[in-house]
Amino acid sequence: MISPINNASIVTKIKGALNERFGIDVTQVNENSRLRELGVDSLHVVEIMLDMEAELGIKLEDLSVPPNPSLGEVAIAIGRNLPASA
Amino acid sequence: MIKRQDVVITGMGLISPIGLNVSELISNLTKSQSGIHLWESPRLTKKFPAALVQQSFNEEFTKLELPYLDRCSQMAILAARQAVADAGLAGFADYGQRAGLYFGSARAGTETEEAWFEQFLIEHKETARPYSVFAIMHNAAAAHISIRHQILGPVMTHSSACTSSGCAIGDAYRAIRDGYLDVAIAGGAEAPITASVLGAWDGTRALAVADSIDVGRSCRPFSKHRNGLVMGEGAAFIVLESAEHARNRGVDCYGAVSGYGIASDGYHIGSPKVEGQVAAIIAALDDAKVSRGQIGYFNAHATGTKGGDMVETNAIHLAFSNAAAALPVSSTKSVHGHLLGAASVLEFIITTVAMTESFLPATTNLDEVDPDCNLNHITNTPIFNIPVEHAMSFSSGLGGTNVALVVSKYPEMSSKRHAVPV
Repeated sequence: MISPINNASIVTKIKGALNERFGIDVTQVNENSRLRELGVDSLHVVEIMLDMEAELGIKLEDLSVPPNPSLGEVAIAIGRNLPASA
Repeated sequence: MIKRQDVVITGMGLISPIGLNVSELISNLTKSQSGIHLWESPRLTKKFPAALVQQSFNEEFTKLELPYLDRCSQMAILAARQAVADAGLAGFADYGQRAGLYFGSARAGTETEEAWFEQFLIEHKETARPYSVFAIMHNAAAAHISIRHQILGPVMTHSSACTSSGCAIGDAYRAIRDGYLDVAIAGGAEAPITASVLGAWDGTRALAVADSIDVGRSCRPFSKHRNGLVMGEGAAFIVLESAEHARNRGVDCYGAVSGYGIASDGYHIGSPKVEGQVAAIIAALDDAKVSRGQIGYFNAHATGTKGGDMVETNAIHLAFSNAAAALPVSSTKSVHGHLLGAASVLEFIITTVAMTESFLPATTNLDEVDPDCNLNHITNTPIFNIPVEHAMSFSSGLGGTNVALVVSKYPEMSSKRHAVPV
């Protein structure tokens, strides 16, 4: 059975990308962590979202996120692009 | 009328093929140690001599910073940091718009640009990584230095080929001299050692062939056996400030920038013209108010090309007239190669340390001088214990821009020197 892609699993994937791509220690990072406080700027966020595209096999049509987003808010923005069946 | 300010040099920093800081550079210059090595790429059949900084600087930056930083910007940031620390400055925010940065580069983010073109043309990607534009853009290094050191006045990028950083120093000098700024960082960076750049330059037929016995001897300015220039990489910066400002800070100086001359050939995109070079040299002498005979050392642009070295020789004779016969001349490109946009500032620093350390750096590989390049050459080994009060660094760029800078001792303030490793 394929596990559903929910908000929590996207947050986990983002944490993985933050660690792997940017070397950020994510042990204390959670969905409420603000990316700016981790040194992550808007272009880093774009790169993470592009990583998520590859990871999830989807095409993000809408890359918009609120200013100084939290991990959870980025996850919601990605989830918005997921097909309804995912 | 605004009182003209004396402009002194209070900090220097560099990353070069012959040293990762000024002290190492002096040590290697005094030994005429070459930084030229054989460089090859899987994309090119031909191997080229190149003046290399044999170190990666990725470890100096975080993984969040790295995507924005082409090698050119990395070296610029590190060299500027050295210069700022050497000047005893921490940040410039308190200066507001009275601190400036003047940066020169001929190519800027070459590696990043090449990587993107490879993705675009070969891998058929249609969208670049989000940072590519910022890593490639010509003013990237200047912007990074400005952000890191909070330089809030003019942050300018000059690009006039091989004179880029010379123009940067000249404009910084004028801005301080004329009272617009209290302090400025000036310099340049270049990281052009990539297959596409070497291949493009190979098309000009201006690149040297590697010496078959000792690749370190491939660059031979003024020699009868010269056969072209050797491309180099690196970054160098100086901190300039008004003498009054430096005195108030209680710091010492290496000397003063006393003259700047700039003139253009208006002649040919790739061939220099004697008259433009002469005009720049004379303008710098006039600005410094020194006579021709007072220049104790001349660091030549001479890249090692057949035509260029000869034109410069003629320009030196015409500009210095009777004083040319006694003028000690060398082209240190024979050991550090041609850093393009960073060439002027690196050679200006070499000219300055020649003055502070009382030695005349040599043109190496000059076993047989070309009769058409008849000058008072410092041949193969440096000459030590020669007091130099005033010295000139000259650069000439493709496209026809010529820059001459005069550095002078500044006895009104305590002089500063670098610790040189034994």
